Amino acid sequence: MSISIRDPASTAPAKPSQATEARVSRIRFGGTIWRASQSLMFPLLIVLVWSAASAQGWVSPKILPSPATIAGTFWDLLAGGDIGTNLGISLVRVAKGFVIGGSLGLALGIAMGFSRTAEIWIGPLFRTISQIPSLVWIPLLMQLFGIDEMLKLVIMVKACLIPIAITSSEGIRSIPRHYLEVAQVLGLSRRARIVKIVLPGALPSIFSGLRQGLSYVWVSLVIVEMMVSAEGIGYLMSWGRLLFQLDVVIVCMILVGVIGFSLDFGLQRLEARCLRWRGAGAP
Amino acid sequence: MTARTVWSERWRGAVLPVFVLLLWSAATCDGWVSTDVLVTPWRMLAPLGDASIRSDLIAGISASAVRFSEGALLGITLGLGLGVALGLSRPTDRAIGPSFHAVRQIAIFAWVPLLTAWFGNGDLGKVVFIALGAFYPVVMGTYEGIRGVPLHLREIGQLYCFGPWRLLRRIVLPAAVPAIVAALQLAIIFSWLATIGAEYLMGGASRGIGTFVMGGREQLRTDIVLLGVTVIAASGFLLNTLLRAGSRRLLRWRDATS
Repeated sequence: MSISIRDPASTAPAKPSQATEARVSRIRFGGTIWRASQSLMFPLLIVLVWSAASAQGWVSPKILPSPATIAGTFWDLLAGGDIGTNLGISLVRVAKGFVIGGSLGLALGIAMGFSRTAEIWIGPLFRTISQIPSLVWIPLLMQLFGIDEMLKLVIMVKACLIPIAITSSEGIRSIPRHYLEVAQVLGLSRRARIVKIVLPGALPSIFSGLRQGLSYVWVSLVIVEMMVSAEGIGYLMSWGRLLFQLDVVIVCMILVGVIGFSLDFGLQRLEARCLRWRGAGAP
Repeated sequence: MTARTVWSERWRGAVLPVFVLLLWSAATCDGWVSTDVLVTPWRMLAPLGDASIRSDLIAGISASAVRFSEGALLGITLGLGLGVALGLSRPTDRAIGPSFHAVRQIAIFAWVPLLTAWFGNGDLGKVVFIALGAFYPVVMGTYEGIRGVPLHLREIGQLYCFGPWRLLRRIVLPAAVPAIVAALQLAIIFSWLATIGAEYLMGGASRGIGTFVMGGREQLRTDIVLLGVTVIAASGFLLNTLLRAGSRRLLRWRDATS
């Protein structure tokens, strides 16, 4: 009986775990130069077709500005300080929202994780609210808080408080019981139990909550800035749309993507650093 | 845990919401805050008495539901196509995957200005935006689902000399179904959120529940805003509940066999 192996690439790895690792590393970083060049071919092709389309006048440059125009606009906005000013304002807002929302979320999450009483009293309300995304509340919050800084802060705080509180309380509650029993046998004090066992054990969940929270903060800020703001990267984008300068819009979109990615990447690095002790032996 | 303690815990969970409602009522009845800012909870039912507002609301809900279904369907179809292509063919994955993941970094709401410029702020622009919201999770879930098919299952197919089509139909797709169902669930929630977001952000002349809310805001009718937001929130709950029940039903075969 002949066994035909159709696609050698899909059957080559010996163990599924290797395949998974290879996949993850490829998604994230590309691997070898050959693979990188394969990945670059497609975007290069797109940029070429796109440039040709604008050069030959297949589409109006007003509808689809050429890549060169976009690069030029990016340079102009950067040199003129528009990007610096607006991005700076947005990032300061993000920092405020994330610090306030994050610390409130952590405090609540720790309270709900440690104390069954807190969980019983505030848990249900919390999980109910968490089902409805922040975006939905924006018009109501506009009525309540006006359209100034306060509105942005409230929305950002709400956006990150909930995922952070939920993941950190779950992280704390899901610490294996036998760890705590060992601590009891060793006669650790309550404080030592928390610092040595509970917090390190819950750290991965806390980090995943923080990362989710930060990305929510960024997205919700961009949304609010697009709706009501006179400054910030979201404002710059809707301003570009208003004047029908799509090159400005596209520059801002790219910036939104790059900043979103960098914020998450920063937290990911921090997480890797904080969790280095887990090492290779950890599950 | 006895039924009695469960009941008493539920009761405690309800204390905080009731307290918030009471505080809210007190604040609005005693005039601590202006009625432009906040109205008493039950006042949101008042606009329902007005026939034109009522018909606006009903027309808005149905228009949003239609738009949501069109966008979700479009996004899911395209997403399944790309997800299957990326999952089955490594060369496609290598060529398109990284670009896809790079573009995915742009939050979907940042697409709104560009999409309104390309497709207008009417129904078309909104449907395209909703489809985009559904597209990403479906591509990701289908891709992961197909790639995650255990090697030994594929090997069984090869042992039985299955051709590519039978391998796909009999082994790869059934094994990927749980991941795909989870992705569809996420896609439906994202399309719902994108429907609301599109109506909030794009405005335009077309009706919709989100447009209803924004209209109320422009007229400074807090009761209309509160009514609309409550309807949207309730629809979100309903959708979540339905999806959870639906996916449990769809995946019942898996629990039965394993």
